[in-house]
Amino acid sequence: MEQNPVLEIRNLSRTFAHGAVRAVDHIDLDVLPGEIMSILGPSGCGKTTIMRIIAGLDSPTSGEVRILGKDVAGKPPHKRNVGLVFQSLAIFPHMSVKQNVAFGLRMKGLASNLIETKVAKALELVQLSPERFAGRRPSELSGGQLQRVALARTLVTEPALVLFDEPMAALDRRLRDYMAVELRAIQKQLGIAAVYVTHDQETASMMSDRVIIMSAGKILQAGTPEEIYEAPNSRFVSDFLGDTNTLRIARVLDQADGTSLVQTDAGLAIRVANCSDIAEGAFVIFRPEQTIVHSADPGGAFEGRVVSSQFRSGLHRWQIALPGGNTLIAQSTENRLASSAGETAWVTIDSGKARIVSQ
Amino acid sequence: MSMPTATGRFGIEWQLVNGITCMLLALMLAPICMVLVISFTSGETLQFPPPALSLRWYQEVWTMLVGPDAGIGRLRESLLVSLEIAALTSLVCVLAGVPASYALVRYRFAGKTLIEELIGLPVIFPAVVLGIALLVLVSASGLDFGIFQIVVAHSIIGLPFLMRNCMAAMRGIDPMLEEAAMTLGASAPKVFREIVLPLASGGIASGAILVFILSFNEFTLSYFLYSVDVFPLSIWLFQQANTSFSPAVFAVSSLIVVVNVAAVLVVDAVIGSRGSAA
Amino acid sequence: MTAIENPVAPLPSKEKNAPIRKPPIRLLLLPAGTLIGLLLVCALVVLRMSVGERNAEWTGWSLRAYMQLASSRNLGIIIDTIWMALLSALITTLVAFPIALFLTRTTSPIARRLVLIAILLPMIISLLVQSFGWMAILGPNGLLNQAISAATGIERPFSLLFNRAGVMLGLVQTSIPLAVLPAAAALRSIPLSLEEAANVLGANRIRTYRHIILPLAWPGMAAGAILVFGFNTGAFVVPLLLGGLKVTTIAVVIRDQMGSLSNWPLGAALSVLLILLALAVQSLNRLIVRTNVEIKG
Repeated sequence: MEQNPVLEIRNLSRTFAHGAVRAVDHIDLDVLPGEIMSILGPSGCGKTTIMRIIAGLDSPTSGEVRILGKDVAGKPPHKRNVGLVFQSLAIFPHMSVKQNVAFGLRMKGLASNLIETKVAKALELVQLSPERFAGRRPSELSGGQLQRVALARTLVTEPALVLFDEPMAALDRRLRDYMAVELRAIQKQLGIAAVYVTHDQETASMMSDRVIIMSAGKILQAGTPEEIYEAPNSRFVSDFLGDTNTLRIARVLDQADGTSLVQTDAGLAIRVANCSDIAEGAFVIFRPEQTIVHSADPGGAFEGRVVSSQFRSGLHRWQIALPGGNTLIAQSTENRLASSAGETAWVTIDSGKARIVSQ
Repeated sequence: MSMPTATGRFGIEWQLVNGITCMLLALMLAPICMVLVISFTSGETLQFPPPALSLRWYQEVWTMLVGPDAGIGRLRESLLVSLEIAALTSLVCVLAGVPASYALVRYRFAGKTLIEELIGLPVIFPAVVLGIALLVLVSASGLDFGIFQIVVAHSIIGLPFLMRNCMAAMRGIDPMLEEAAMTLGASAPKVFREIVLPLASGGIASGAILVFILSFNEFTLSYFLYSVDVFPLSIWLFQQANTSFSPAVFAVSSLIVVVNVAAVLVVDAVIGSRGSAA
Repeated sequence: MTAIENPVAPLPSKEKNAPIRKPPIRLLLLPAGTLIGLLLVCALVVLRMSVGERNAEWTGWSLRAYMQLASSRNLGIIIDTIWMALLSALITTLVAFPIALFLTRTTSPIARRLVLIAILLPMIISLLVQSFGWMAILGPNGLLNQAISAATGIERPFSLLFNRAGVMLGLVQTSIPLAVLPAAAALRSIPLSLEEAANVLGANRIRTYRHIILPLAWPGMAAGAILVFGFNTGAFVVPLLLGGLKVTTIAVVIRDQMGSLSNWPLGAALSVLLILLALAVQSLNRLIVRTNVEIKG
């Protein structure tokens, strides 16, 4: 059954400085009920502008935003029923935790006893005990607790759509991962549709149903986090999601049985699982974990010299310089090379995973 | 012997700076101290040092203020009029200055620099000229504005002081707070009332107190615009100084000094507490 | 009014469907604009009267008032006022320097706070009240004369009241805060390391002052001096109370001409002169601030 999207964006553009800067360039996207969609991109790619346009804090130069099927052009932010959790959190410093969370309900004109129960419920939802925290001032809270207050303040108004503007950017990695899991759980529990804007691909992958990769105001690729990670459609997307080995193709040597044998600039011959037309100047890309390093020649491997090696979070990693100028990054959970820099090593590439992209 | 150092915080040089500073501060505070001391004299003249200390002139001021024969020199009337003018001036400056401050802090528009210049104009504009020109306008209109001709005059010169404080406070407000309030369902007027006003209240209050004191002490404009019915305290003081310069005038002056100092301390405390909270 | 409102563009965002409806800027600026507008009207009123005929200020046209400015008596008062303002600015700036130095150098926050409050008090407290204090100090039976006669035995050695020295004292005392604050700000911006470097390089303290501190502090001190000058060209209360009838300034003469002497065009012409002086002072101040900013990059 087809679900009606909560948010539809059609052909949206926003230019600044009289058209000289295209912050958002003809964007289309949908957010379905109950899903979190992340907009992922480097700073300045236009993701925050899109979010501000959805919230009504900025207006598009052209295009259409529909929330629950209704065009919201010209509708002020306070009438949109869209929640926004800010990067700076924007907790009101002159109000207690309770007053902060109650703010949206008060603006809606709810009865005070109803506000009371809703605020308590919202604080419990984000695991802040109402007895302990309701009366506190924002200045008495930790970063993680402020995060929860911001979340409760937004969720308590029961918006049709919640927007997150990198609210966890200021937290350290461990707390950020913890909050991401928790946020995801709360969002699934409430079934609220959400847009999560970030430049941090790990958080985006952890909590999103779908991800959109943006650069220079345009959408480069959309899909589930796994799809995009496994099958990036460009060097940019691949690089943005993680370390990538990129080799420029000089020519195609052979195509057969659904595979192609290509030769790189540096003279390496690599077989990839792709036999369609390969444009001139295309690239082979593959991830460090899609390689295997060997301390002895297994046959058919590239021979190179270990430039450096690292061990981090249970992963071994090597930079291996190949003759002809290419340097590959290889990665493994096992310490396959007991060798140090300067020694010889051999690398094979998982040809089923290597991809060819034109740009 | 102490060693002279590069930073000039020790040695003869620093002692010199200390000494000169103390002397100058004594000079600056001398007239104020003089007024305070003479107000406690037991004598009939402004003689210094007083023959003995007493509260007789304060008692006299007290009877002038609350006694049954409170008409003497119209002190009570003048005090009340001055308080009324100062309160109204603060109110006018807040009502005019707060929205204008918000516009100058949050809006971007052509001619903003010019507006900012114009707002600062009353600070440098010669008060005598303003007073005379307003007097000319009032007489040309043929109307009786009562207390308001002084209130308006004081508001003109008070406005930059209020706006300076108010704008400083408003610049310190994160615009995201206002946007957050909007997304939580607050319309523009509600955002202003719920977020901007409370967060700028310290600056507005200190500005308003400053304007109150400015108006209460103001002489030049009042001098041109007072009338028999609207006779501010500063004009009363001036008239007394020209007729019967008794220590009672100094007692009234001392009370004014106390009020002024209290106001400065309040402003200092308001600004200080805001500074430490931020 | 028109002068204020004309340059105001409409709302910042030109899209017709801008979702954030801010209140229109004209509305926000209207009350403050009315007050400032009244001030501009006042300037226009004196400008108009200054080119009017005596007893026909609104209908006649004449430049006689401006020619009267050049009469020896008026010229004398103008030069006198400017001279007193200049002298008071000079003295005030010199006097303000050690206080500013103390404010920036002291390591005791309490001392700094006390000095700051002591500096601000003369700015806040009624000029009238402070002038009373000076009258008690400088008067024939005042503190100063008694002290001097006690020391020298001379009966009533001299009077400082109702002469230029007394007025100058009052002008300097009331304008010290105006000079101290910019000078202290300028001194604060000089890193101590510069002085230390000069010292290490062999400059003695006097040379350090001459070559390091004064050149870097002078824009702040100049700004203060200009402020004091501007403030004192329009001085009214202090000369009125401490100068008696002997020391007159432009402002006092304006009062006399527009009041008892009822030569309104002349009073208005003097007013225009005061306004021009104030504007010139402000422009000069801005020029110094700007060049200073440019120098500092």
